[in-house]
Amino acid sequence: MTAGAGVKLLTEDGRRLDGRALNELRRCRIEAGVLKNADGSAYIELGRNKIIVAVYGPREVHPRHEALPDRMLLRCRYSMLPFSVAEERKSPAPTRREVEISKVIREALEPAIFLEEFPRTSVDVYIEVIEADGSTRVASITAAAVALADAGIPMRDLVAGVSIGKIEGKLAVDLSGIEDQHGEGDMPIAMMPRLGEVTLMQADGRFTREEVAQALRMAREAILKLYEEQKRALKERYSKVLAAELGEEQ
Amino acid sequence: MSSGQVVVPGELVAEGSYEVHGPFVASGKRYYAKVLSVAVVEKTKQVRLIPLKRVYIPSEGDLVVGKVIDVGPTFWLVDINSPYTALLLVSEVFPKPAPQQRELSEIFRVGDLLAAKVLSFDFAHDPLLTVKEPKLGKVARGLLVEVAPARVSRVIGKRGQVADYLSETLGVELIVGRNGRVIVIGKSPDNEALAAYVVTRLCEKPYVEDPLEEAKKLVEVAKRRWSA
Repeated sequence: MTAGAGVKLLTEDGRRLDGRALNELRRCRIEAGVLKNADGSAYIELGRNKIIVAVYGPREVHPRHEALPDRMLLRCRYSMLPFSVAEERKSPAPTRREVEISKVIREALEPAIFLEEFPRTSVDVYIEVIEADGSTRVASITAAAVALADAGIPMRDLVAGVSIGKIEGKLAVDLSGIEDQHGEGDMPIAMMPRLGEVTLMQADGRFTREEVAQALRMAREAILKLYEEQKRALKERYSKVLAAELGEEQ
Repeated sequence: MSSGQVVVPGELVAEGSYEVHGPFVASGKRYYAKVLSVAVVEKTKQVRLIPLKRVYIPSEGDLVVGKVIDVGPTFWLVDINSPYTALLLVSEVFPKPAPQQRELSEIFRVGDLLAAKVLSFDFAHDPLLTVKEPKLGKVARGLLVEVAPARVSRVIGKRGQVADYLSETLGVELIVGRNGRVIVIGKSPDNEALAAYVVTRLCEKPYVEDPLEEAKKLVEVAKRRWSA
């Protein structure tokens, strides 16, 4: 990312372009179990981001030679729909960027899953970005964890992610597309919220030691908020089912 | 924790001298849910976690309903609604010298439904099935009802109470596969449809406190509907 030459990302009173404070998340809403044909699914809206995640499994591995003798095979595919970006239509072919993001998402989710529970099976996570506005990889992780839980996959904890960025020399939580483009740095971080363990940490731009430490603190705070939304989404989805029985026809 | 609450993986379920049943992870005296479940407080200091979704994992001695998907030289490949495809060896069908493959497909064809028992399964090898017991083998007629494997046990009930009750009052024969496949064999299609409706409805809810009571209620509802 090029340092923002001339693009003002902070107003005089220290607010961001969309009126947020530096440590403020965009509005986040998650819904669990949105697809009937998948074993588990979730939909997330984080600001203007709209992402849907479908999970299949545990199921038999195809092609069969990819099966692992002692654990489950986790496969992720992050993909952006052609109309998801504001600029020119994105080609539907997987880009180098999407392949990389698929890999880091898989590695961010893996530590949370009891992979050894179902040897020789696979769990497939399909992530479709419908509309993108910065921080899609971490929003995808947040939604994917909900979809995995919804599929009944055994897990140690959920995983949630947030990006910490640097705009006009200050650290800011949850970068929007424009802040990512014109800011001085972007650091996506994912954690298992209850355990407080980091499962993803990338960065571009320059950060000092102190900034990295502060970024982690800010990320933890934001991730705990996202965790509450994840739990709410899952509980609400199934509490509805449980409550529906009480008022059922007899 | 209130009873009937939904818990997410990694969520604290109980702390201290509790007895926790179902899939959990313990760290000292703290118990965390492992999968998305409903937590039911059974007695004081006793919690049961009931998973909301679960795939069928074969277990020795389970009665399952399988679908033949391939005929091999000395075995049949059987889909048992599980991530693990089962094998039915010729030796588990015939006692004596094995017939030729050509003849194998004359016994069970691709697409046939089988009532079988799980002979062995250990994750490292595919599950093996047997039909060498009375009442096992090809299912020639009836209606196949597919339900969630996590909920099929309530169609059986305690010591088979629910299954017995259903076959008696509805006049059908039930083959309840642990893998979530139930076969209803009745005297008439109407009869089968009614029983299939009850079985499906019985498995709709994530949690049922008293399956037998629930089954009785559903039979009443079904009978009223069918007579109307």
